[in-house]
Amino acid sequence: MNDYDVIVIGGGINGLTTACYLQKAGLRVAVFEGRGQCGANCDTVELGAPGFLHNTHATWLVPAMSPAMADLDLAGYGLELCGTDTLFAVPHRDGSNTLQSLDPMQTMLGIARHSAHDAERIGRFLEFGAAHMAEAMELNGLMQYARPTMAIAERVAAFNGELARFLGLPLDGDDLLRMTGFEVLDLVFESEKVRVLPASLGEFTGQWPVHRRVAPTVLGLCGMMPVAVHQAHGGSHALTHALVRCFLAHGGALHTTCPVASILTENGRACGIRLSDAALYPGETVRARVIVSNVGFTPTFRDLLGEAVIGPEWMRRASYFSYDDPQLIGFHYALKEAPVFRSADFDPAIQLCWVGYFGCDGMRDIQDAQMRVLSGEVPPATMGGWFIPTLADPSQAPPGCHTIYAWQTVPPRPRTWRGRRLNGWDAWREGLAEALRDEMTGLFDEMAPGFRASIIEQHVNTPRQQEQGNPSNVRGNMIGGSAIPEQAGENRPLPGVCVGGAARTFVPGLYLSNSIHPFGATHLASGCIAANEVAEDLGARERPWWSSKPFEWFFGNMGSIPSNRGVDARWARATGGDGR
Amino acid sequence: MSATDFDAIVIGAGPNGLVAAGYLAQAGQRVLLLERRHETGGGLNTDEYFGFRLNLHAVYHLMAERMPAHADLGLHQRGVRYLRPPVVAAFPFADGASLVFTRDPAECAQSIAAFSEADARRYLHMWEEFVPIMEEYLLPMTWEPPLPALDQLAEFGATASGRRLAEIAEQSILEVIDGYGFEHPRVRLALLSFAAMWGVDLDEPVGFLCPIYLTRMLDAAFVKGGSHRVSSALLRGFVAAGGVVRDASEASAIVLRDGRVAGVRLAGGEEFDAAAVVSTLNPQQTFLHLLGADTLPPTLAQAVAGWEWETRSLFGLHLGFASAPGIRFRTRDPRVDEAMIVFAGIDDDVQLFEHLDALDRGQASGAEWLHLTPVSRFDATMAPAGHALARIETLARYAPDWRTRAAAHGDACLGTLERYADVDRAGVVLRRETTPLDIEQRLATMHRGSYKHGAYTSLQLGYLRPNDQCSCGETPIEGLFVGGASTYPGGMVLGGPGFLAAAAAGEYLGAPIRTTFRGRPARERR
Repeated sequence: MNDYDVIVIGGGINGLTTACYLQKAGLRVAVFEGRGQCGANCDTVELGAPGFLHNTHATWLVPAMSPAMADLDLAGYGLELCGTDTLFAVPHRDGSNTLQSLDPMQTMLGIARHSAHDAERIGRFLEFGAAHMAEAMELNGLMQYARPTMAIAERVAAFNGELARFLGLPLDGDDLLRMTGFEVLDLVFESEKVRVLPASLGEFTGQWPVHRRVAPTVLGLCGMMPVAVHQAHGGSHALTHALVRCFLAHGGALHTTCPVASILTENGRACGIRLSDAALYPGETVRARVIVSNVGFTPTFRDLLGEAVIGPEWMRRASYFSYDDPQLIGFHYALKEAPVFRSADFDPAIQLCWVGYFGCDGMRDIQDAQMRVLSGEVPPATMGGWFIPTLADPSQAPPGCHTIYAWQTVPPRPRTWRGRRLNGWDAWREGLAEALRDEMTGLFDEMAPGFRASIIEQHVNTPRQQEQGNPSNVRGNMIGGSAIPEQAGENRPLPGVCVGGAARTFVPGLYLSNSIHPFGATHLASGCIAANEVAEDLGARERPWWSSKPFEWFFGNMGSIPSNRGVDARWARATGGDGR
Repeated sequence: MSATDFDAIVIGAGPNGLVAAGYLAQAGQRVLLLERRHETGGGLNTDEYFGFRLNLHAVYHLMAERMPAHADLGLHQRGVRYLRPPVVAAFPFADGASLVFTRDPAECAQSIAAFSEADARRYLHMWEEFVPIMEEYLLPMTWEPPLPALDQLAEFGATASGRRLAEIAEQSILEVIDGYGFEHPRVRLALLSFAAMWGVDLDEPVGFLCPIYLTRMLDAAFVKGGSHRVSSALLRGFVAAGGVVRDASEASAIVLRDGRVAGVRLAGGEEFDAAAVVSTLNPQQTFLHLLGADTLPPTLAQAVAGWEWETRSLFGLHLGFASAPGIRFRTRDPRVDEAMIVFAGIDDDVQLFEHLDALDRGQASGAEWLHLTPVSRFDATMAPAGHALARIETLARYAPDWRTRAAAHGDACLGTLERYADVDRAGVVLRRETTPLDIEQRLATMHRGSYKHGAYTSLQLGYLRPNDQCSCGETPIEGLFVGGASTYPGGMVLGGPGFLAAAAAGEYLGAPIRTTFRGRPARERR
């Protein structure tokens, strides 16, 4: 096999993003992926009944905010984003709902039905946003696409402190850095029904309000502004398809079914890889000037480098790196028809929404559940989120039919549920998954009567299956390791691993595109960061096309992203939409 | 040139569509490849199911590296590796005996000799006749435009093996086997199984398939990493050559202007222009749905209306186990556990005939006779570390109510299997049934679960596949070419229809395809 300038280990979306940038910049890049296809956490699979596409993890996609969208022309390579007019919905047990809409005025009017005070707060957010849009976007871009520094964190906190003062909250930026998200929510809104929305959005986005240091972000979520959140026509795997096509069209070398057994070093410098004996090219070695690992911290340092290279101290740290953050158990449903929410009588716009959260009677329930999950308990009452991708893209199910991906947060190694002792990791093969699925079905049927009768087929998707499908999802963790403070921000993955940047590691020639700031996700940020640092080091960074800014593509194209293609016309009429 | 303007559009990104698109892009044409599904590959798809890789349709590849596309489109360089386990097929019997076929005909004969020494001699004699027939005729013919029957027979007259081929071509597969005098019921069962497992009618006069099935079966290969490796290698070559792929994009009409092909319209209304269109769909989809009967010459409309689907489809069952091997056979010969394909459920030829009759009459479900492949035994990447994956397949009739019967059929398959093997039922962590209905709904070209896109009958093979006007890739519609499994030489991942369609379309576009395939020197091209 040839030698390359860059070898990327792991063809997930961030590894591919790095590979695309560097190949397009004129370097010779090879990607080695262990599975049969790339993009593990963006898989779209017909799990059972034909024509029903299920995204086995990423469903909400956020590449629209990424510079990669324009730099790599992902739309030109077939990535077609779409969405719904209502962005986020929380149906309540009392038959009401709280909705976040594409149109901020619509959001405010809906909130006013629960609390005039809270609606006024939203109005203040809008005012502040309008006056500070450019800075907000710049900071957002820095927080995600730049090497994380305490200086950026402080700037963000100061900005949010200013926002807090504008809202009349007795806080400054330093206070925010010390608070949990729940503490902020207590101060901003008075209605528990309204608080649920940003609290659950925090859970959706991996910014668990229960943690400290997420408060500035949670405060930002309280504005309920339109965001660059979409799904892909044909399923999430379309994002992988676009990246793969871009990489190939620029001449990149893609090798699937090629698990890597080790990273080779010479005088302490990473200089190549050896493939595993099960790989397509068993045991073959390939050399490159630099290696980018997209398989995460522990697999890279403990398994691919090993003690001989990193020494006993780092070996221990790599082994004790935390992957025990709460994970998702997913429930995939194939349905004869779309669910009709009971709360559509309160506000029918919920029927125009493909994302939501339910099962709690207020933010306190979410707080309680998060505390329990962190201590290894499966919460007694089911609450969680759901996606109905077919409301925006009917092509993901046979005509008239729908799919739902519902999930709840669970400890990866659960110890107890409703007083019952559980067997940790093995619990996922001992009936717990099916029991939780039945609970979720019951909850859905309560919120959308008739749901149960419309089920054609259902599948569960446990943390254990996530790891089984992709060993770099250690214990089902899909963001490259727990988002606890000592593994987040400028610490990530652990203090001392990344030096002189966010992707460069203490092993010369070795870069990470996963397990680094800001967690693996579809905004392709860690992939962009790794591409930048490698290109700087190899003298390939200055390219005229490598110039777009975060959110630039989104603002240029947001008006033409189709919305609500699959919604039943009667609901579109009810809210005055045209059912595009 | 705009983003909607192409030289050629290929409809359907199954193996043949990918082959056709790959050749045309390599010839410098701007090509758009349209696929209805979210994923390209068609029958070559391998689904990733939480670390298990499920080949939902094509598993064994009989021509493998022999297809010109393998060399021409650089499949080896793009990571297509065929695995050929030494033991190809095994027939365990209820009494603990077994017949074992390896890649070495002498070893096969030795296994046969345990039942009948005369049959072992007959087997070697048959093999000696079939090998030159394959090498001189049937293999190269796979990628040559077909000839009308009489011309074909005249051509066969040129050599001794050609004359032998001409003899058996008119016979049924059963007659060919009888003709060699095979007498032992178990030996007859094994030889007939190699054809019957694919749904070919043993009484249909398609005897030329006999050498293909009997010799190529023993060269059957898996694709390391799953069948999708072949389609993704084709796709990668196509994209690297500048080809444009649109998946989740269903063609709804082939647009004609002045009676000539002008482009393709999608279900959403979007339109693309092209001078040539290659359809790899079945004849009814291409000519009736995308064009419309009123645009066709009457003889073509008639031929399309009379297209016959297979009577037997397939049922598949994937089993994933928490530990290896999951399934262990109780026969005396340990090689049975090492076989790529194990046939189980039927112990002699008479039972096979009865089974096939009962199946066709609707009096058997199909689960009574199965073949099994212990996929992960040969390729560790097909299952998560420490796990095992096996795939079972049975013949099955198409019916619209398959969804309600799938689980029971799967149980019946396990029942059949457990008569011959120990199955670790408690260790099953994945179980997935694929019924004839699923085949049709996943891959719309496989109408009624018709995985060859139409029956292999004497009137739908060779020059007559799909009909005498379209079997060479061209059609009576100017600018329209056909190249799916319903076109000569047919299904089974031969890459033949796509190759011939690309050759015809390339000539039409003034951009002849480049190939290392030369065909037979003596062949008189039409």
